[in-house]
Amino acid sequence: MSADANFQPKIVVFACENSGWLAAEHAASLGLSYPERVELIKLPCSGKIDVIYFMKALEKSDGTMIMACQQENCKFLKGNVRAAQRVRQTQNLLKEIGIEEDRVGIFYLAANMGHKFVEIVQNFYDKMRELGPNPGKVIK
Amino acid sequence: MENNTRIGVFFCNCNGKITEKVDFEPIASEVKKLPKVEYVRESQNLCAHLEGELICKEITKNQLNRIVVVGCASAKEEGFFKEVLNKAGLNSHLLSMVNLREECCAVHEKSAKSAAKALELTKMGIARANNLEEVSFGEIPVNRTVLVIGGGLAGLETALETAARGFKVILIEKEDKLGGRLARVNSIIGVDHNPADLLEEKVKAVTSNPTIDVRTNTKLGDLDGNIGGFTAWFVKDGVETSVEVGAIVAATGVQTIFCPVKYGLGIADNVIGQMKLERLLADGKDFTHKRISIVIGKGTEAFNLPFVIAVKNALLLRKKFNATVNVFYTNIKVGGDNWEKMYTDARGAGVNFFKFEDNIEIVANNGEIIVNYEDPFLKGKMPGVFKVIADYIVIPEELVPAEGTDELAKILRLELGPASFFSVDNAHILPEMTSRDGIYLVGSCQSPCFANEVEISAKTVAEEIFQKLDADQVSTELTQPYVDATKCVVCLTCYRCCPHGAITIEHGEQFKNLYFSAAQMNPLACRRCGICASECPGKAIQLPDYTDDQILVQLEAMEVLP
Ligand SMILES: Cc1cc2nc3c(=O)[nH]c(=O)nc-3n(C[C@H](O)[C@H](O)[C@H](O)COP(=O)(O)OP(=O)(O)OC[C@H]3O[C@@H](n4cnc5c(N)ncnc54)[C@H](O)[C@@H]3O)c2cc1C
Ligand code: SF4
Ligand code: SF4
Repeated sequence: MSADANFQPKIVVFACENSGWLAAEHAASLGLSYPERVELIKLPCSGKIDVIYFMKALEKSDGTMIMACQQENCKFLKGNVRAAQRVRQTQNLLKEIGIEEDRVGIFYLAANMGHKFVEIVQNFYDKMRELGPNPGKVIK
Repeated sequence: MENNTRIGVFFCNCNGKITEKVDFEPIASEVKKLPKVEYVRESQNLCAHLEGELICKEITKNQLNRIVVVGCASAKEEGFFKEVLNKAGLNSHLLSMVNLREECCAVHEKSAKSAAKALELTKMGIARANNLEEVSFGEIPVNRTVLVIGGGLAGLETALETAARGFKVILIEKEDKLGGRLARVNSIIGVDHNPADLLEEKVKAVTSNPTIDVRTNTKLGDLDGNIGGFTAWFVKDGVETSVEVGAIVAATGVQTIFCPVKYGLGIADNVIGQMKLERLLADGKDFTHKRISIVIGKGTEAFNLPFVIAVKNALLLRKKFNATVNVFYTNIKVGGDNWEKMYTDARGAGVNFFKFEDNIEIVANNGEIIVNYEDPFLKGKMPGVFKVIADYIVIPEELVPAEGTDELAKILRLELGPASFFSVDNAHILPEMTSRDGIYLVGSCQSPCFANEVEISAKTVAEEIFQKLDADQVSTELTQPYVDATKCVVCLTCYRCCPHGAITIEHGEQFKNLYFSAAQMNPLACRRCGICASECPGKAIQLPDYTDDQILVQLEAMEVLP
């Protein structure tokens, strides 16, 4: 549990433009809402995610994730499988340097799942609140 | 241009939808302090037509060469602004869109936190703009010969349709003659042609067409290249020859496997497969007043072909030979044009339909076939086993892809889908497409289909090829990833992981590395997923619009909060 009850984590969401990115637009059109400190970066496919993107995101934020198309339903066949591997590689690195593995994750959803988008983001946010500030953040 | 970057930032308040949640002034004053930002403007509604012209003028007047639009970022608006850039003489890829409406205003209340987010998103967009690169168009020479593999109805139709659109066609068939499965079928529903006549007509049209080169006893041995520029190696009598083709259509069809053991039967003259029945009917065998049982079930339910054929032939046997026809089924699938009617007609004509679950036993006894059957509906009222005696029993064959389909799939670098048929790219969008552009599927090779469907597929594919390869040179935007040869160690990782087979290894002095070789992505085959770029161990690959720099600077522009 985080010591500071007012802690508001910052989260970087890498979003596949065929699923997560559109789901965020869908959430907006449904008038849903989620915490402010969640920021999206668009990728053409979840398979474009790179360990370096996650690591850089964790220099700046408390948690990061990739949003991918549903399993077995990637527009590019295997992108989401490769993304899951990237997440595992990043988790291994985090473990080595003593940062919680849960600060990086992969979530699957479809373009028309605005509600699911908000649920994923909110749950992840709550989890980061529990974990507390990321010790790896580089505060200049 | 790099030292001379001049960024223009255009805010759109989307008719108030944005400004009701965030104030632009504080953002604008922050943004103006950023290096290279030369121009900032706010508008009521940027995507209005007159605004487009105004933006054009401002771009020219202020010599802007990177444009940031802060408003919404949906695909439609992006298209609009890209056009504006084009009109202003700027490359349309020098545009960075910031999605303030959906990512901030629509989902957050007005507050200090949402104001901070709005500023940060804007800064990220500007940072990305700083790193944008132009993407040019290229003229790609393409080969306008189409290779059709398989000389069944599907292959014949495709050859005729593509030839009619001005392509040269090479049709290869592994057997010594054309025709495929349909040559052995007695009748085709939905087509008022006798199959033999239909085939003869098609074969004649194909063999007499000077632009169609038919090669029998020929198989594909190997394949290299991509859409517009494939090299195919044919094998005939152990001899290899190579040809250059621009597109490939697989039309290798199905094969049927007769398996009476599954029904507890052995091989006997009165145990007939559906395909065999077609043959017998075509050859004029007499079934007058015979008792015939037809069974469908036991795993043949995957496709609707066996159902429809069973109903078709039940009706025919009943009407033509006044036979006693009993159909035992687990399920009847007759979803298609007029098939439901055919089923009702069969019932009307006196064909009996019996539903069974697992409770069916078939025994051959002295030239008769006895079906012991328990009715699931009458079980409570009239318990016991019914005995139905017949002179013949008709069972469906297993429908499997043509022999060698897995081998062919490896050569074409395609995946196999359900039941090992060729896998379609997206069953809902274009069932004839594969994961590789330039390679298409027609007919039963993707799943057993009917003659009338073949014609539609063949036309669709011919039209698709026509659109892709409409001239000897096609102009295309070079949005495929590019490779820094000095970093490429020719490890083949990208070649193996590209889901669309769009990568080849090229050789030449221009590739400045130890091997004088590098991976190259084909602009016509690449679908811009970026998987290769993130898999390359040497970080040699960059995907335009999503280069590592363009992504990392966005993260760099973020503020770190405790
Ligand atoms: C029992 C039965 C009854 C049917 N009844 C009807 C009906 O009533 N109505 C209807 O509309 N449809 C019916 N059909 C379906 C109809 O036959 C098919 O729609 C049609 O034949 C499909 O043609 P195709 O060209 O896709 O496949 P095929 O006819 O199987 O032709 C494929 C061809 O490709 C060749 N080939 C295979 N592999 C290779 C290779 N690697 N290299 C080169 N050549 C290769 C084969 O030798 C063959 O000539 C029936 C099918 C069956 C099995
Ligand atoms: S993955 Fe990278 S290093 Fe390997 S062949 Fe492809 S471009 Fe070259
Ligand atoms: S971007 Fe995707 S489709 Fe294009 S070459 Fe790379 S892996 Fe293949």
